[in-house]
Amino acid sequence: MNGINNSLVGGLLAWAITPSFFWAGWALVSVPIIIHILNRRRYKVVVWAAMEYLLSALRKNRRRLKFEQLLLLVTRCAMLVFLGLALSRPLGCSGSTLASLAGGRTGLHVFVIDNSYSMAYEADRGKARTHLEQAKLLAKQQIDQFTAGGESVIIISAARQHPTQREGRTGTGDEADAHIVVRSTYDLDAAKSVIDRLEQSYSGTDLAGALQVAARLAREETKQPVKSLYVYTDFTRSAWEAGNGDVLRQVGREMTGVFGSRMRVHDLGKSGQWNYAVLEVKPDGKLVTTKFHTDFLADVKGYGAGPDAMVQWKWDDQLLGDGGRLRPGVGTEIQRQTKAQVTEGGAHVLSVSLVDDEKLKVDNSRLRVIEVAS
Amino acid sequence: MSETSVDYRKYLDPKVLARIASLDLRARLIVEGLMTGMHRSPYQGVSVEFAQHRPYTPGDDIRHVDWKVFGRTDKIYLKQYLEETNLHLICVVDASESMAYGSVGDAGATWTKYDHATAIAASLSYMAIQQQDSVGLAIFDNELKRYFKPSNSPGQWKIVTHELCLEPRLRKTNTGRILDQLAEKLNHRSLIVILSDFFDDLEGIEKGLRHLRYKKHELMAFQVLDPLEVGFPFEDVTLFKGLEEMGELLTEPRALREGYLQQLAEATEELKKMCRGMHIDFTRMNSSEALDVSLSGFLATRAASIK
Repeated sequence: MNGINNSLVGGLLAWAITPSFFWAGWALVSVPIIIHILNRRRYKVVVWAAMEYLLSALRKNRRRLKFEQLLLLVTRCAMLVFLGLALSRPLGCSGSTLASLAGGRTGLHVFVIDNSYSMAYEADRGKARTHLEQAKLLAKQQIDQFTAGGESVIIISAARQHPTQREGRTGTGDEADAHIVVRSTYDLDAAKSVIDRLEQSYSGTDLAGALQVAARLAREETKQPVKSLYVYTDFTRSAWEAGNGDVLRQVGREMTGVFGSRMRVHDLGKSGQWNYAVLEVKPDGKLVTTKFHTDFLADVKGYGAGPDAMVQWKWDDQLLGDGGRLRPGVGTEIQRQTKAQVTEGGAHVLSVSLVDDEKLKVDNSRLRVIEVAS
Repeated sequence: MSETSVDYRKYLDPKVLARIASLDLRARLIVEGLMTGMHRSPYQGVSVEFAQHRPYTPGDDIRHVDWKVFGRTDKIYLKQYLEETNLHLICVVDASESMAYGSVGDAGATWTKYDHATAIAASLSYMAIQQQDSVGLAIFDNELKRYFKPSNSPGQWKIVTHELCLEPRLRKTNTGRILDQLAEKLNHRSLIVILSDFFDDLEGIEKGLRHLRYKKHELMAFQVLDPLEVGFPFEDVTLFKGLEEMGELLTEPRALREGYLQQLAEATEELKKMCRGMHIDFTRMNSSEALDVSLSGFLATRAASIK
């Protein structure tokens, strides 16, 4: 019996976010009853001659009067119970259509937007040129569904943070907090504006770090019992490689505890995506002089199945002959430039570009300043 | 101060009368108030037909002096009319506990229903005695406590005011039985004015009234009610302590107001219907109203019946 009672009580408490108000509402039910009893003790005394008519009126209306009194008492008690019920904030109510009609929705919404360099991919969507623009569009559309004044927003960037970027954001250089674009705001228009100004980063993804920050901030927010997570990413492999996968699995468990089932992940990647990148440009040797010939090296890689690309070498904006065509892959050998004539000393710019019809051109060029000794 | 500079009409207000202790004085002031502004006494001798002469005695109204007889005989005789010696006015006053209820006036001088009834009885008696009519009195609660048969002797006025001054008997009412007893006592056709709140068994009252009508008496009924009984303006939770052993009731008056007023209206309507059926003049009086309202009605009715 006790087990049944406990499970019943537990069941009752489980559906409410602040059960204390629920029980307080029931406790307050005694107030109208106490007032009713006290009122019956405090009364005026009137000596009355026309008692016969009063008693006759009572006899004729006794049932109706009793019913009205009872109805009044029940209504007063019910109002207090419903007040307690409303304050206990039953789960699911804030997300319901009914709640939105009543205009009383509340909740914390955490947006994790991947603005790493791969999100610069031009995916030929009508209203959004790149993956990042699409992410911004979807995030703003989601915010448009929120109720102003009751719902708050946190915006987190998933790009790996450069040390200078970290200091600029947090003032402390704390890597985790560098992901935070907006800590928490009820101003939905301001939140959308911030999303609009979110810059394309040219670093890789730190999705695990961003999600850890998201979970932490959501846990710290105690005013909003209902929390939701929205992730916008292209699911690049690098986010899952090199130990990030284990971290993500752990973070996933943590996020389930914070957000429950209210997590929505938008995969913005397109099938058949490919990308060529110039990863590095450097001289072959430590010293570059005018007296001795120096070769230059370029690390060119490709991901996915794309067409041939032309490799273009430039020394101070002067083409260095035909770099040849190749189809870069993950195992492409280092490209070597042997025809560079270095005749003057001082600082010079060496650049290598891949010329192709590619959707992610951000990493197609790399340049390097080379100091030439004369 | 001359009489003309005093406005006696203020003495028709129960709140003013409540501060006057003497019933004798109250009655005189009421009559003066009634007569103020009138060219003649509102109470006419009911005589219409000359019957005989009688010798003049000091104090008689000289309006009835037969001057022709004086011219012939040098003696003063008064004309006596057919009804003059026949009018017997009997005031029947309810002195039961319920008549002791009153809310008019202030704490120091409360005007009860009994005060209202006795003021009317005294005023009518005063006017009748002024006109040489006979005046009788009956005071009752659950039994006929005091009865004085009609008389127009000079001492009758003192008896009336003295008896009416006594406090109510604080007993239950039994109007019907009292009216029956009166009907048996009265030998002479009379004008009987009943002053009561009629908080009693209506069947019994009807029986008594029928008995009196059967004996050819003329009847007038005045129901005297307090303004609180008429309006029932109570709001908060109240313990009503009933008079005449009617018990107590703790209730919210707002819930019962409509029902109570309906019951009172039904009872009054039944009384009116009963009186109408027996050709009895019925008037409901509010004890907060000025007395000329009630008395003027009575006098108008009397004047109409004389014609």
